[in-house]
Amino acid sequence: MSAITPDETVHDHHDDHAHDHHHEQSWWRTYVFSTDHKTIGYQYLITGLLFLLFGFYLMMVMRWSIAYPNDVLPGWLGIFVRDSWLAQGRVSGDLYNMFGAMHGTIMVFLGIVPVAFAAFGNFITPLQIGAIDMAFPRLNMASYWLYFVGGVVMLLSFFLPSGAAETGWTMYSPLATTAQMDEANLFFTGQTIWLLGMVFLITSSLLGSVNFITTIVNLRAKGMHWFRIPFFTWAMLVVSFLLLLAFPPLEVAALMQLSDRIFGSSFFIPSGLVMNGQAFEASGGGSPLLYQHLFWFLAHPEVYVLILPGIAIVAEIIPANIRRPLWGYKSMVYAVLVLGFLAFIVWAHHMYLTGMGNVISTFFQTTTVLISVPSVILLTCLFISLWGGSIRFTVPMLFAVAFLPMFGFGGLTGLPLAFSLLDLQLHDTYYVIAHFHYIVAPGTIFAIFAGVYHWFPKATGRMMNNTLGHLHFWPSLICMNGVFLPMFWQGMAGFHRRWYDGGKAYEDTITNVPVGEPGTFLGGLFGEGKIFANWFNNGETISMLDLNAVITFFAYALLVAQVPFIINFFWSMFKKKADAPENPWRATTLEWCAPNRPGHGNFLEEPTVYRDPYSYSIPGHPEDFTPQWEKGPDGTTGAEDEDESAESQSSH
Amino acid sequence: MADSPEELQKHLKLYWIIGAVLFGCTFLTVGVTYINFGSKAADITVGLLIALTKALLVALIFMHLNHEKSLIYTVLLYTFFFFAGMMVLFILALFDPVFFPGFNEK
Amino acid sequence: MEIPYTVKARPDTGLWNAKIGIWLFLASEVMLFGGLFSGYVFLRLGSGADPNYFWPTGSLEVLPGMINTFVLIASSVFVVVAWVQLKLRNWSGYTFWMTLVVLCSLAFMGIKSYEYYGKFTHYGIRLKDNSYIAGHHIDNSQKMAEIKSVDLDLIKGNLGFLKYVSSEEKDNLTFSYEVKLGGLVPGEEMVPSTPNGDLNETIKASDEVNSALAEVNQLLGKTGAAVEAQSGVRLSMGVLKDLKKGVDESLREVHDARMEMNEEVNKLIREHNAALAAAKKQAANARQKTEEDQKILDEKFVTLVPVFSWNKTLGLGTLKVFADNPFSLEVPHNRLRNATDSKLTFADFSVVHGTRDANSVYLHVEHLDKLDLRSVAKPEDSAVFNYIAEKAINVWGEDTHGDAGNGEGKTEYGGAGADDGKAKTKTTEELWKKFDKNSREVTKKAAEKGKEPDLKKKLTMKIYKEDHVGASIPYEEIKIYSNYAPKQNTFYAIYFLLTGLHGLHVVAGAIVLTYFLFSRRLYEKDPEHLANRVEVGGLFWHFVDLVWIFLFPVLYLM
Repeated sequence: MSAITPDETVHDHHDDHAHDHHHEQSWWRTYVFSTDHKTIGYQYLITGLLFLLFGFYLMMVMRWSIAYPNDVLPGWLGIFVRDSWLAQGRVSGDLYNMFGAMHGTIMVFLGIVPVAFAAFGNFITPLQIGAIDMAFPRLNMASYWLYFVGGVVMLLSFFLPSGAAETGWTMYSPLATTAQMDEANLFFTGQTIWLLGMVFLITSSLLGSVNFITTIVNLRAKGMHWFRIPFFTWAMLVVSFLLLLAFPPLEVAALMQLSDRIFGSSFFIPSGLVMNGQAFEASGGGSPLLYQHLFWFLAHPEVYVLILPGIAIVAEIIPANIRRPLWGYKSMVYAVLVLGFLAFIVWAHHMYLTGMGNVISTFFQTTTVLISVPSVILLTCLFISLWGGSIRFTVPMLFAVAFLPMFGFGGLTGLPLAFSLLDLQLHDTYYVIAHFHYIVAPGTIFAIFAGVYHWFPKATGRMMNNTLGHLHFWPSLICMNGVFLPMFWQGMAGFHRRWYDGGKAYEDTITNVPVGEPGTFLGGLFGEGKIFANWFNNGETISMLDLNAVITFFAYALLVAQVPFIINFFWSMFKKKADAPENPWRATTLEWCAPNRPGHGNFLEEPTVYRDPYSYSIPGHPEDFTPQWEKGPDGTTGAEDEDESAESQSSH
Repeated sequence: MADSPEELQKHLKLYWIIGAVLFGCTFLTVGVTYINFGSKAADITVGLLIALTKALLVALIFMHLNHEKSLIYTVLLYTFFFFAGMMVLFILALFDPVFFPGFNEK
Repeated sequence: MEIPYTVKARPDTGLWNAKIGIWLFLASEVMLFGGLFSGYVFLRLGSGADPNYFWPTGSLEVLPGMINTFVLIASSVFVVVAWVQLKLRNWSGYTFWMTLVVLCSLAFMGIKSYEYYGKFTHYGIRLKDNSYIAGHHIDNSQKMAEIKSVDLDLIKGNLGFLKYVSSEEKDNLTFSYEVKLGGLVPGEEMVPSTPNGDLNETIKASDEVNSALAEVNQLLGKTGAAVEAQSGVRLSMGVLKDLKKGVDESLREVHDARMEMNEEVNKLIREHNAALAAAKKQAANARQKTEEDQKILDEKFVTLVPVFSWNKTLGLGTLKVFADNPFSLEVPHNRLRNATDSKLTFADFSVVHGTRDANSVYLHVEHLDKLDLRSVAKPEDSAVFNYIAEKAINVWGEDTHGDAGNGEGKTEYGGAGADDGKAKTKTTEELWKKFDKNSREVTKKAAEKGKEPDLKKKLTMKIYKEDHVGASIPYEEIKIYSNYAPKQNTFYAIYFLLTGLHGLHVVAGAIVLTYFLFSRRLYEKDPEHLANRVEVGGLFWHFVDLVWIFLFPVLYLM
């Protein structure tokens, strides 16, 4: 349909069969086994958001245990908890481990990535480049359903006699290899099923990333040169490459661990392993370090898979709401490419504590510090864009603007962790927890909310409610910081992330110290008789240990803060009046030229691109925005250049 | 891709020749294991070099990588770089431990 | 609606969609096999640092691997020829060559299965002193007679042992049984510890609490013993399920009573804490703090404590069954977790009590073909020499013997060097002498050259299969034994992982290419489209070949 040279013979062939595709599709084909990229995007969004909610629930149980280790788990929190998982009605260490492991797994692999990358990527990428669909629609469907099956497999593992996996989301061997070995059937244990679920998820993301790259490379509309591609799509391209090349080593690690568990091999079992005072029956000769290398070879690039879609969404929302071009668009594109490249050679900074020598530690330390350069370029470009813009604080813009400092917090606190010496102190403390949660929670998740508010009109033809949006944004912002900011203090005081009692066991020795010295800002804030002390500690000074209750309070409040969003989402979706114009934000990228609720095939007529993606406030233009698809006299290069640039591209 | 029948026939011949060369190389691979090149490392290097030659022949001729589009070269270049990085850094990490009792040559 | 560029290439990129797709997929595959090869290198290099471990270099049969290499290379040529035929629009030529490709893949899998079969029937045994022997045909059966009782677990529902009872005996096998409740501890931790005793007194004085406690303990007394005892029962999952239901009901009753009790105590604690908080506030606000005030201020809050201890597994009920007539069973040793003379613990944690056959103490292995003392601290004291059944075995040698061991072509198990390459008869004492002599020679030679002696190679030997030498080794002496499966050592583990994954690729490729054989309809409609598909399938097939080109030398030769 959108062949660039219309005289190609391939056209005739297509026309012969075009009418086959216009018949009514059954309900199943339209809503369940759909091959339409938009429907698949919605499916990813809904499934992913549900998983996010479930991951949140797991965290709530953990936070209960951390804040009130001596109290019986209240019934309303215990809906998903089997009696046998509790110790005297309280959260047991095993339960904490299980929920901790699954919280990480679900949030990363089943929540954030599917929503931020798969859902937004699927819905927006083809629209932004002017394609009628993804390059391989059926693979796209398979990708979603593999993800779905993987998620169901992960959920089902909770119902096994052993419960779900319980050795952290990293599944380090030999702990993960030897855990839950007391079950009659080793296959049906949480640990094994986790590995099986991962195989499904890896396959899903493999199919997805092949599809994304092919689509972006080959299905761009007429005139969409490489540097006319919006930043969002560039980020999707880089993320796809990360997934494509980083996931296979994890698949290797998963298969090896599966073999260790089921067939008794020793890939990750060192010689002479002793468990519970008994020699572990295995041939030995394996290496636990090998697992960590293979795992982090994926899991570090995965970090950028988590954050890049967030930055990408924000980079679309900011120019539309400041009415001026994105500052340093090209630098951002180059930065994201460099970021994608460097992401592959920094992984071992997660492994400073494994006994790596100075040479290799220094190498990874250097690359890690290097990778902060492109990250800072991205953030700086976004910040500078704001300068001198005429900013509209729409709800998506609020989230996008909040994203910038939140991501900054998370990113900058990561720098100390890059140094092997400092990492020895901070490794596995709440400092690390706060660091990466600042990136993904008030970072990526805020970007996800921003994206939902921003593209909701395109997907449904309806605007989301503004008041409810504000009711959602402000409490969320406060609660997010209420949860994660105190964790930095706790982390630097040495609180370990795996303490299921939140440090209660060390109450009399190390954890019961005041948050701040009297007279300092923190001391004033958490001192005797002040607001926090009155709320949480019967008026007494709040100690580091007491901060657990403060954090837990904000965490639960964060859930309440999401209620306006849920109401807003469904109420706006089902309201009668389709009140959204086709281009409500008066934005320039190609998705806004498609009709609202785009049909199969997306565009009413094949779009052609005439200019750069963020042409706002061009002097002499009657409007303050010039869409990419608008033919104009203002000297921008037209689509005719395509053939020239195409030749120059294929020649080198 | 508009190969003419004559050209295709020419290619056909090349494929058979390369097939024969690959057969020969396989004999060679097995053959050189009977020769001692001085050390285990040298034996392994020779064996891998022959395997690499064979692999290159398959990739260049059978998989048409001798005349492919730049995009595919780019993708493969990065892939091999990351693969090499993975292998080399794994090994470097293995040989640079803070403490490790005697590393025997095997 | 039709996706563009499925057949024709996009002019500026010069590529059609599926071609980009397959190359991206192959890039991902490079990283997959790259990860495996990295793992291989890592494990192999790492094994050098491990004195208890060695890398069994060159222990695979080369010939099948070589034939498979030829098969794959041939198929790789055929697939590209088939593609050319399609480009020339020669359907019959295409089907001919493509059929050959599919046949090649079948041949490959056939040879692979032969190799795998050989591995599964070949056993390696590592003793606790790290001596290592290998052979075929093991007998690892555990015979137990006079079985009178079995311990089961109601939650696991573990009746695995029944599988190993002979069918005649199984027919008239009836039991009586006894269920015990588990997971319950009487209420001795009734009262929370507090800094001062006031609360304890209050709680103790509470009539309600005391009556609840009495009630609970009464229940416990009732359920702590056996709840049922019958005889003449045929064991089945149904019986177990019914029993578990009964147990669960009793436990629920106890549990509820305890939780109620718990609530009562905690209510008291909460009241106490509330009163204390109020008093503290008052004391804190007092202008002049009296001693009394200070005492109140110093007093700590009582934390809520569930007063009953409760084991992790709620409703853990053990079931002991007694056979009405003693029976016997026979089970392979590797199906068990533990075996002693009086009881066998099965993989599913059922425990069978009886008398074990005296012969079951030993693992019997026949057709020994390999002996390796490289990792033994003192080879001359190796336990192996005590257990080799025949006092005389044929001697090992350089690779001049036609049928080398299990047919393993060239190996570097140089052996203790039979001088003329002919079989000789030696006793086990002589066997060690030979070892010793060889090692001394090597030491001497090395000393002449001023080098460290490399004794390792000299401490392995091959035993010829025709000699049917066997051994009986007590399980107590064995560290680990298994067939040449992943469990054997990390080399076989990665061998199976690499070749298994590669084999899966062969099967998948063969299925796709077979599908293309039946694509006549597409060919008539749009031959170029089919040619594209075959090209994509062919690219995948070449990649599979390419992986094997590296696998063959890395696993078989180096």
